[in-house]
Amino acid sequence: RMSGVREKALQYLREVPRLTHGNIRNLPGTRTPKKRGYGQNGKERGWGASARQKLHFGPLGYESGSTPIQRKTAFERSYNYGIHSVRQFPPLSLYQLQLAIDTNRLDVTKPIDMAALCGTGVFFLDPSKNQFGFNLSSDGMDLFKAKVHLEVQWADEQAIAAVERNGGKITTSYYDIHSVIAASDAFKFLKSGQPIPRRLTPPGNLLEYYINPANRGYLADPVMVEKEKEVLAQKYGYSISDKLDDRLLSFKKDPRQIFYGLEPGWIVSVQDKTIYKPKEADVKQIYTT
Amino acid sequence: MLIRGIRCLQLTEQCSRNYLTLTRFSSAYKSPLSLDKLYPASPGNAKPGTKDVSSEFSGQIPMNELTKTYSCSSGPGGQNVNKVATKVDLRFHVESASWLSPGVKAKVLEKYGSELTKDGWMVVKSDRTRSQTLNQADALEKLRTAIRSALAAPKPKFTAEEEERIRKGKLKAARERLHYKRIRSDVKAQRSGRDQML
Repeated sequence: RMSGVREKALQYLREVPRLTHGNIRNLPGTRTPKKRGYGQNGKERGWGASARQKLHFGPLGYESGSTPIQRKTAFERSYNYGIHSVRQFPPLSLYQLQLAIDTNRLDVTKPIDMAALCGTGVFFLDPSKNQFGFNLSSDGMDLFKAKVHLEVQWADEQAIAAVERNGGKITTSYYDIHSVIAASDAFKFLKSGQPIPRRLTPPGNLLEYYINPANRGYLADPVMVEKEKEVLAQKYGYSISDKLDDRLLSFKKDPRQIFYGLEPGWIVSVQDKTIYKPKEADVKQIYTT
Repeated sequence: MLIRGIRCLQLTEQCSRNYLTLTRFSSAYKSPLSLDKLYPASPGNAKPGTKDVSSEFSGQIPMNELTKTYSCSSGPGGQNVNKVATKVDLRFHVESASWLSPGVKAKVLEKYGSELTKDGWMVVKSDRTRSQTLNQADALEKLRTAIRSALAAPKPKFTAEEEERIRKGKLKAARERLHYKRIRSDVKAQRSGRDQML
């Protein structure tokens, strides 16, 4: 493709009847005016005897020839500017996950979500540090051999492939900060006596991530997710159909749920072993929208 | 007695697994965001699609038809490179490959016939990275590229415009050669002094 200037020039050539001195012009910047040896370009640079007899301050900010402060100092922000507002997804490697399963910290027959991972006492999330969940990293993908039903908050492609290669299921799911507070320390949350909140939908730029079937987003179309599974299987060289486990696929969590089997709005009393559910219609309505 | 995964429930003195067994992992709760409401046309658990059979190579390779071997990679790396089987070797017998259509197979044999083993097996290897998974993906990519390049039409050495320029250039060269040849022969003829008027 031709550059814009060249295109315009050629178009001009097609349109003009003839080229004359009046039609032709140099490209901007190719010719600079020759500097003469007096005035601003002379020996005293505009500060000579005739200038000193007049009021002559120089340009705004001029500091008698030394570099002025507005040019000396840079408009730099601190290097960790915005760190308090950045969403963090601390990594959880496949190696760590396999180790936790092998040492019986995690039960593979049950779904593994944020509450289960934080409940092991080995993986931590700190909502006060803006940590929104776990990022499943591919470190240890070659030795991962567990068949799991996994729900994390971020996952890279090789991690997804490693889980699906072994016949497991992985979903990436968004937890807003209050849901993280609830799930990261489930016991502490349930003891506080608050009703279980409903999980909020992902904000702006994260919605794209969770709607994408390639990321196994929880808001993605299941048909597209299956197609992406096949694509990934072809890419990394494994077959998926022979290892499907219906029991594993039967674990389901609604996008508004934080804990499996517990609905938003319920108050769970572990000590009394009872669940208190809201009766009023307007309260129920809030938790079911 | 207990599995350590239920640390969060060590509340009372009598700890038990009963709480978890009571929890159901698929409840009836359905908000407006549940998948069957967001995507009503899609079935709940979609089955994988059927393979499409065509004369061209779609890129799909049935993984059970390839013989995969894993071995240790070469190069520096100490204990890790000596112990971890990261090198991937993929093989398949071209003639008896059911996943290649006859047309595709013929072109593959034409291009890579001399590169197959004595028994007619195509071999693709990779030890490019430190991970077996990535090396396997690399080997498959190499295999797909090889098959596609066998199917691609041979690229002409020059484009049509370039061919035209070359043809015109040859004619011009011939014209110029003859032009200077005629000039030289005139010069020579004038030097000989024949048929001059005295």
